[in-house]
Amino acid sequence: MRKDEEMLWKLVDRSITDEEFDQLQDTLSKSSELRRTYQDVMEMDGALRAVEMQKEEPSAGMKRGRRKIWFGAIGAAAASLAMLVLWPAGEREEVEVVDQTSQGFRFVAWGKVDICLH
Amino acid sequence: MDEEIESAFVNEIAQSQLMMRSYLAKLLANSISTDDVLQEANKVLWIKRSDWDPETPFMKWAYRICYFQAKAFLRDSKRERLVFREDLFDMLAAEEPRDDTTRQRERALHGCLKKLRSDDREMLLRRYEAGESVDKLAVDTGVGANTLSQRLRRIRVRLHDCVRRNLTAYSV
Repeated sequence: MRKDEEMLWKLVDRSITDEEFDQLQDTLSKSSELRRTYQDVMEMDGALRAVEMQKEEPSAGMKRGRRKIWFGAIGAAAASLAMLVLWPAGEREEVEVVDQTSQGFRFVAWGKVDICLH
Repeated sequence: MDEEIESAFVNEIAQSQLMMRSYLAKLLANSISTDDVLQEANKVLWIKRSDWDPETPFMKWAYRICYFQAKAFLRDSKRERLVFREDLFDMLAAEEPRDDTTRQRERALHGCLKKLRSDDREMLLRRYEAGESVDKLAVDTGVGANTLSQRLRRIRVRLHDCVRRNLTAYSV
């Protein structure tokens, strides 16, 4: 593997040293090909997270009373938005969106949905 | 904003999460705060939803908001160690992912994941579980953290090469 690509992967893992990061920035500034690879690598990293979340997500469990819906961090953001708009008004009481991956999901409910923060 | 447009907006924002996150991760050098900035960008998108013109590409607008949110985050956060120089940051921001290749890449990734040896695939996916750091994975598997880190990197390089080959094949 080329040295600059090796540093890209270290950046993804956040294990790159300050000195390597400076070198990498110089190379990224000059090389559009390396910037393209960086973008690809980041997209793959994001897609892998999504794969993992899809694997983990059980179906949304709906019960009477307080409802708890499990989502991954990214899915939770979309789910919250969808609920804000699409959830029938009569069923809006006490919906809890939980970030199953504990990545600190936070979203503002603007008073329509009671979203508990975890 | 009428209900139909609002519903289309929700659809757009739900479908764009992965691309927005990748874009932000690129600008923020894969900071652990990427998800927080994504949430902030989502909030801004929602607040400004009435500004959205359904006739214009949603992603262009979303990336612009991500750009400003990433800038604001870096301005306010002094603890980030890995911050791109401003000229490079702007260069990276200007090179937005193309929607069609992003979706092709996702499909290719699924195919390539299946081609990995099952133990490599398991190891890789465990790495992406929340809290499953390389150190914890190393303890669980009885392998040294450095060795494991190298192995994971090799798996991802193989996966990346496979995705790249597939994308080239699609484009021919």
